[in-house]
Amino acid sequence: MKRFLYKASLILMVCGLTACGYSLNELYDGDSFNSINFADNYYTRWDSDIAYKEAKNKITNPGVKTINLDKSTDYVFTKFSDDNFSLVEPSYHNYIYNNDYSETEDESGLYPYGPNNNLSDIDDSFRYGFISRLFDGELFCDGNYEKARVQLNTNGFGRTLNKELYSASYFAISFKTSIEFRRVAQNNDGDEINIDIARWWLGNGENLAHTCDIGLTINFYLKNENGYERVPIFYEISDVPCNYSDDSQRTNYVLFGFEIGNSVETLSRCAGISIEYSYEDDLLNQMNADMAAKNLANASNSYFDNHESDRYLYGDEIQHSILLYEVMFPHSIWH
Amino acid sequence: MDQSIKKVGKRKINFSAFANVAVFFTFEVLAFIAFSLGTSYILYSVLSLVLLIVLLLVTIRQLNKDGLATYAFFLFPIFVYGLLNALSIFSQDSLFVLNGLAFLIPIGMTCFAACGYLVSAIKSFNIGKALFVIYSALAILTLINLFATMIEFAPFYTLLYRDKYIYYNGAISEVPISQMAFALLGFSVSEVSVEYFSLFPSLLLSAVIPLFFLKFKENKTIFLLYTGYVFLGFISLLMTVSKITLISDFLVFIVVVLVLLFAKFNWKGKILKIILIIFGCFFILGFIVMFLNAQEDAAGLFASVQNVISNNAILDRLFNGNGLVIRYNAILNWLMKTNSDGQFVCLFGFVHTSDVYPSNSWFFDNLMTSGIFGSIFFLFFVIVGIRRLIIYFRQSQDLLPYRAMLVAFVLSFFAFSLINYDATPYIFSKTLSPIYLSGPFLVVLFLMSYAIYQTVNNKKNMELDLSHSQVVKTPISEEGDNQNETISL
Repeated sequence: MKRFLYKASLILMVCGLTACGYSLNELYDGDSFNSINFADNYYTRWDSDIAYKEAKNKITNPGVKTINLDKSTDYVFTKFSDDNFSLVEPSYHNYIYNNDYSETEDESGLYPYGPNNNLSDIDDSFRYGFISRLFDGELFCDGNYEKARVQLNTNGFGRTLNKELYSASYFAISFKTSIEFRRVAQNNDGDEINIDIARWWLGNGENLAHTCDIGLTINFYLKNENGYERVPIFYEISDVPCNYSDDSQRTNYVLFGFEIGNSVETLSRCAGISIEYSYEDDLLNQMNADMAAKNLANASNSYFDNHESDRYLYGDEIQHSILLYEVMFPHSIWH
Repeated sequence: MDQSIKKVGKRKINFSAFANVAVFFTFEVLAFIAFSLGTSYILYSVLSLVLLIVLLLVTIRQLNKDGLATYAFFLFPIFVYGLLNALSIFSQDSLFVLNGLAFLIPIGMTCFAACGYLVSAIKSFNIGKALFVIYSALAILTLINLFATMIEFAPFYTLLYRDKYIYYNGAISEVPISQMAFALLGFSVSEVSVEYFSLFPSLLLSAVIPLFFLKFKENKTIFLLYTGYVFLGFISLLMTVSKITLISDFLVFIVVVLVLLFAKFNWKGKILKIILIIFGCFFILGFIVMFLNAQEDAAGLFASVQNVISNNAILDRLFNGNGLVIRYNAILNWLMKTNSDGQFVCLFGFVHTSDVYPSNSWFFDNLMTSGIFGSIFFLFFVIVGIRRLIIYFRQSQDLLPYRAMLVAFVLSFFAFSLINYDATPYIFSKTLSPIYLSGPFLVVLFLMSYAIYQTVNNKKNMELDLSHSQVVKTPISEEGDNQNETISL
């Protein structure tokens, strides 16, 4: 009996030492997601259980209809100053929006909205992995560029969560949109050059500020006995600022959200989320269509004599991206 | 009748009767500290103060005052070291963990040192049991740390995933996962560096010593437990092996082997003494050269030394071109910086900056945390303490394996921490945690003080032993009646 116990405990110990590796699920190189090129920064991971476009997944309601959110009945908001937001956020008047540097109240007695509603503070499980960037309370770029955001292409990402949502009154995300503004590429001589795309297109030192239309598709995955029930929602936002410089009032950021309990009856047991989008961007379409012509025109443009690296654009089409900063379920409870 | 009532009324409490309770309390405190609560120095200080009061009450009558002068010679530098730490620029920084409570530094250290001394006076205190408690607590701590680390990572992850990073709370980790481990700090398992983690299993390695003395058939349980502790330490180090832990563990290995050889073969160590003196001279010379070489924008002798070093490939590698010495040089250089008034303020300690990182060495980090004068007192304390340890090893009446274990534990701690003491246990923290806040250091302090009592009271102990054998034959009528009463477990 004793020998058996010794052997059993030894086997248990060996198993215990070798069977885990919790943090090894997500390993990255030191400079991952830290590139000037949009194409190298896209976060495209889809966990297989919720990859609803793939043949193999654990979605239990494959034919589900997408819910088109209604601005008035779902209290959809796209700005902090939106009336709907003041209706869904019970402490709206206690918050300041444009500051995400600390949790403490400012001189006027208001608390920064982002750092006081971030999921990583609500539950520790949101502190792990690359997408912890979406739960850290930082709503804005704040000069951290690639290090602050999760960058999406139109195919988006889909991740399961370690915990299940028990209750939440509303959902919100903070993002801005951008087309490529810089690109590191090889020129015809094989040298690596850093191209200022705005300068290439405009032939001057101004930026590419414009607007675009965004169609957001967000899926929530509610856990059940057999897998996940998919709850897809769609909302179109027009005239979203694109490639604007940051200002103190954060006017080029979108704080999108809606109240849970109307068209979306419940998100209880939500244990996964995916975000995709579509866009309409006239400037981008024009730039991509005229890329060869612009390169030809720039060849004889004397402006580029002092900006030689920006004279030609090398590589594929210019890309559009959502720069996602935060995903929030304010005042939520997770099990 | 009245007289007898008065006598009963005047009768004082004989605290020496509570010796067993005091010893038990001491064991508990030792286990608690060896179980390492990370940066809970405030708690340690309060515990040490309470324990000191208890031990004073219990031992005040039987304390031999002959050795107090010698003991004061040991205690004084550690008290001054603590005092200079409390007053240093480093501990005045708002990020310092004891911010506002720096006065606890000399109190905690001195009390622990006093506790080790006082508890030695209690007959029922058994160093073998104390060491067993310390090693058991360390083993439990190491086991928890190992499990937590393996749950988070996997065996040999330090080798397999050397350049891989994880994201935590929105940011990429500052170090690759090969430098990360998990440890029980303040009752929670937190991310620490591999250097911090490896101190505990390295200390466990010295538990190999009793295995060469104990007979398996007579001490099955103890033998198996110590075997388990050594195995656990070895496995932990193997799972988290890295270049720097290999170097520090090699030092620990040398210490343990030397102590074992001295104990087993009763070496006198004359040759070793000569070797140590030669090494000591080299160390002092090397330190002086390093100090001269570290001073930036220097002229004269400094510049000449720097030129000689930079023009010689081996010397350049030794004094400029390796990861360890770069950090040491930065501290030595910063130490001699002056403020705008030309004052050498950094001589009294300074706060680390992006230019001066902690060096992971108690020798060099002390310059930062306690200043040059604090470092000198600490060095003095170490030299006096080690000298006394050697006397203890040779002369004490304690059983040889326990003497060897005690000496090996203390020396292993200083050897390991000389190049691999992790000043910043928290991976995601920038603050420096000095050596005096470390649980194992307080245990070392306790053990050194115990050893000193044993050396200064050796003759007295022998006399007491003789009287004890007579006293136990005397029938004891009432509790406390017999002033010569001794208690054993």
